[in-house]
Amino acid sequence: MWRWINKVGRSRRERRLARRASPTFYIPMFIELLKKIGWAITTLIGVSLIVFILLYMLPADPARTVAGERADPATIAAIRHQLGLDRPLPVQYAYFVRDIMTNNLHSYRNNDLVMSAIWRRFPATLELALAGLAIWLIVAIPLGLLTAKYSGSVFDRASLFLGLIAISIPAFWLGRIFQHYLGYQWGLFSVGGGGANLWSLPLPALTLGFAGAAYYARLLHSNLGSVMNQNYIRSARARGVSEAKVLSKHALRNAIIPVIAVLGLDVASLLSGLIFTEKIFAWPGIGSLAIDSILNLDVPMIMGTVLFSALMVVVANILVDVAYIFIDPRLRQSK
Amino acid sequence: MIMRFWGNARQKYFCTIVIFFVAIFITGCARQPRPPRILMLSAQSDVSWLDPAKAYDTSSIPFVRILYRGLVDYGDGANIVPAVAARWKISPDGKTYTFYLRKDARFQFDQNGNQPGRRVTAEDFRYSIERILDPATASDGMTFYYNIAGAQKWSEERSKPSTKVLSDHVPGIVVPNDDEIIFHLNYPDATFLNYLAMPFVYAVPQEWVEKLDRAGETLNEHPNGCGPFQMKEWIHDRKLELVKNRYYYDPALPKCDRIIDTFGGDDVLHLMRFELGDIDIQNLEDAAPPDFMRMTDSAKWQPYTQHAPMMDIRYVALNCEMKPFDNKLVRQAMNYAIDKSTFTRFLGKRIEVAHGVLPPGTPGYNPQLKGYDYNPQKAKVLLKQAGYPNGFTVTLWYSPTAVEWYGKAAQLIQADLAKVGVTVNLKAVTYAELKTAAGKRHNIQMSLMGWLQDFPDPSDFLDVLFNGEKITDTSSNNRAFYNNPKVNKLLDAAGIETDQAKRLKLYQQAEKIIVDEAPWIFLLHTERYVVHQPWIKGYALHPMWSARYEYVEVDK
Repeated sequence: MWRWINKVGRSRRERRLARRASPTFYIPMFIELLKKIGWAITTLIGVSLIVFILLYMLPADPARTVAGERADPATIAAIRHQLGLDRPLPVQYAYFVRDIMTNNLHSYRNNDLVMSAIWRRFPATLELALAGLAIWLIVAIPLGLLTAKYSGSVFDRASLFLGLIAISIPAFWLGRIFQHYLGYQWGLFSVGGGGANLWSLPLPALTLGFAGAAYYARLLHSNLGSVMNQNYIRSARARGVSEAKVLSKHALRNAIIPVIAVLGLDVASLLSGLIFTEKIFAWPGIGSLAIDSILNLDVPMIMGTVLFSALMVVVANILVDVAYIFIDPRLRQSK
Repeated sequence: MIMRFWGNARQKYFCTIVIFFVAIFITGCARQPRPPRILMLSAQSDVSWLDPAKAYDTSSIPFVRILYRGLVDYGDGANIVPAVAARWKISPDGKTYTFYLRKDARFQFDQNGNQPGRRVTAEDFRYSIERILDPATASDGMTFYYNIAGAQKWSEERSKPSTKVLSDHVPGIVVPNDDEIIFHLNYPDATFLNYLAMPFVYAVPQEWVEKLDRAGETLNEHPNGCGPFQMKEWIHDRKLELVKNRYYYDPALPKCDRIIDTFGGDDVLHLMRFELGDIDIQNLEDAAPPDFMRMTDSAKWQPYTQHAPMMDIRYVALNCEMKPFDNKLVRQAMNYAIDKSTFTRFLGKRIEVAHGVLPPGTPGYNPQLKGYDYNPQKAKVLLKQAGYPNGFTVTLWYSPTAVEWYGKAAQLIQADLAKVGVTVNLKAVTYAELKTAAGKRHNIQMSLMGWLQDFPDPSDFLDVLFNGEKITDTSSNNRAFYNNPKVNKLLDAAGIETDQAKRLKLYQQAEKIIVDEAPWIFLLHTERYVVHQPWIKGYALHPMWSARYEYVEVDK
C-alpha cells in the first residue's frame, strides 16, 4: 500500500532517498549548525566573563587562602604576585583565557590542573548520569504510554498522585532514606563511599531516577494527551491501526519531541554534576568538585567547573536541535 | 504480523527492564569484601598535599608525617624525641642547635625509582629548609624559619627580581659533613625544636625533586621520603593507598601493611560505613548530636571510643580599634552576657567552656584563671557604665562553611546579647571572605573564629593572636587588633627566654592581662572524639598529630 508509484515511476521513498544522497541537501543544515556553534562560543565567552567579574568582585583574597593562617603580608604579596592577582582585571582575564586554552590552569588549593581534575571526575558523572537517564526513560516511557492509554482511570490518577509525590521529594532526603534503609539497615545495596564503581551505583542512580522518571512520565502523558486529539491519530484509527501502534508509533513520535528538548537540558545539568546526590553517596563527580572549590575559594577550579557546565548546556542544545531535525520530518523539509 | 511485531517489542521492553533491575540488584547485593589486615580510612575530601613544603592542613599532615621524616618528632605527648637526628645539643646561649644524624635512614626510592634510595644526609635537611624558604615554593611554613640567621634575607632576595649573585645557602645553616647539621639563630627560641618537628622541613631528596621538575612532574604526585610508609597509588578524589616501607630505619614500624583512605561523602555516610565494618577509625568531631550521643553512650562502642582535647580555642574577636569595642567595659560586658553552657545543645560533651586563651593540656595552661561567668545583670551594669544603657547594634561575621555548628553558635550569641540590649546582625560568609575581612584593619567589629595549635606551646596562641607589634593592615592574625604594650613586652620577653619555667610564667602573666581586657569573647575549647573497630590495636589520640598510623595494628 505504501509503495505509491508516481508519474515517472519512482516511489516517494526513493525520491526522498535520492534527495538525501545529494550533497546540497545537507548544506543548509550544515550552515545552521555552524551558526549554532558560533552562538555557543559567544555564550561561553560571555559566561566566562560574567563569572570572572563576579569572582573578582568577591570581598575575599584568594592569596590569603593559599598562603595559610600564619603567612605574613610579604608572603601573601608574593603569592598574590605569583598568581597574577596584582595585575589589572583585563590582563588577569587574558591570562585566564590563555591558561585554559593551553591547559595550564592550576587549582589554588593543591596546584592540580583544572582540566585534569574535571576530566578525571567526568567518567563518574557520566556513569551516574547515564544510569539516572536509563531509569528515567525505562520507567517514564512505558508509564507515560500506559497512563495515556488509560487516561482518567484509577491507575492514571494513582500514578499522577504518586508521581507528584516523587517529584516533590528533595533528592537529599530521598537519598538519605534509600541509603539508610536499602543500604545500612537491610544491606541490599552499598551505602556508597567506595568510589565510582558499579557496586556503589544503584542507590545514587535510583535517587536520581526516582523524581526524573515521574516527571518525564507526566510530561509524556500530557503531550500524548494533546497529540491523541489530532486528526492524523483519528485517521490512523479509522484505517484500523491498532491502539498499541497508534500510541507507540504515531502518537509517541510527536509527543516525545518536546520531551527531548527538556531532556537535553536535563542531561546537560546531569553532566555538570549533581551536588546533593554526589555528596550523599560520596560519588566522585563534578558536582562535589564544584562545591568544594566554591567553599575553598579556588577561583580557577570554580571557573573551570562553571565553564564546563556552560559547555555541557550549549552542546546539549546543539544536539537537541540536531535530534529535532532527525526526529521531526517537518523540520527537515523546512530546512 | 503487526501485532506480532508489537508483541515482540513489548517483550523486548519487558526483558530490558527486568535485566536492568536484576543487574542492579545483583551488583548491589554483592557486598564488596573487606581486604584483610589493611587499615581502612575515609575522609570527606581528598588529601590536599603530599609535598611536605605545602602540607599545612589536617587532611595532609597525617599522611605526610608517615611518608617522610624530620630531624625530630613528638613522642607520646608534647615532648620532642629524636627521629632522623639521633641526638642534638643546644649551645648555652640557646642560639646554636647541632644535630647528629643516624646513618640508617634511607629514602624510599633512588633517582631511577628503584628501592631502597640513598642514605638521608644533613645536606637533605638543608635543602628541605631552603626549599620552603624559597618564595618560588610558596610554602605556608616559610615564616617559621625566619629566626635562622640570614634566612629572611635569603628568602627576600629571591622574591624580588635582581641581577646580583645570590648566595647558595642560608648563612645560618651549616653542614660540616653528612652526619651533622648546625643551625645558628638570630635570638634564642625555645620553640625552635617544635618548628623542626613540623612537616614543612621533613627531608626530601634534591635530585629527585629536580628530576621531577625537569619532567614537568611534582613531588606532590611522586612523594619520596624516609618515613614508615610509601605511596602505592593516589587516585585523586577517590583513594590514597600507602604500603609499608620495608627499608624504614625502625624495623618494628609500621604495624600494619597497608592503608587505604577513600574520599567523599559526609559524616552520616562515614558513620554508616564504620558501623558496617567498612572503615576502621571514625572521627566523631562533626557527627550530628543524635549520632554522637548514640555512639558515645553505646556499650558496644564505649570501650573503643577515645577522647582528648582538640587543643583549640573558639572565640569572638571584638575589634578593639572600632567602636563600641574600643571600650574595655563593653568587651567585658559581652563576655558576661553569653551563656557558654548552651553550646552543649548541639555539641554535647564535645566542649569545655573557655576561661582564657590556652586550651587545657598546653604547657603554661593556667587552671586558676576564672574568666567570665554567665551574668547578664553584670553585663547590663557594665554597658550602662560604658555609656550604652540602651545597648547598640553590631554585625557578627561568621562562616558556616568553616565549621558547621558556627551557624548555631552565632544564633545563640545573637539571642544572648539581645537579652542585654545588644542587637546583633548576623553575616554569614565563606571562610575565605571571613579571613580577608577579619584580617583587615578598621573593617569589621565582630567575627566568630577559631584557632587550632600548630605546636603545643603558648607562643602559638598568645604571640600570634595578641602581640600588637605583629598587627598588619590587611592580613592580621590578631583579629581583635588588640595592642597593649605591657602584653607585647611580656610576650617578647617570653619569646627569647630559654628557661621553660620562666617562659611559662611570663605567658601566664600576659594571658591574665588579656583575659581581663577581654579583646575576645572567650567561648570554648572542643574535645576530639574518635571511635575505632575492636580489631584495631595501638591507636591512641595524640596531642599534636591527630593520628599516628605507624603504630596502628589491624588484627583482622
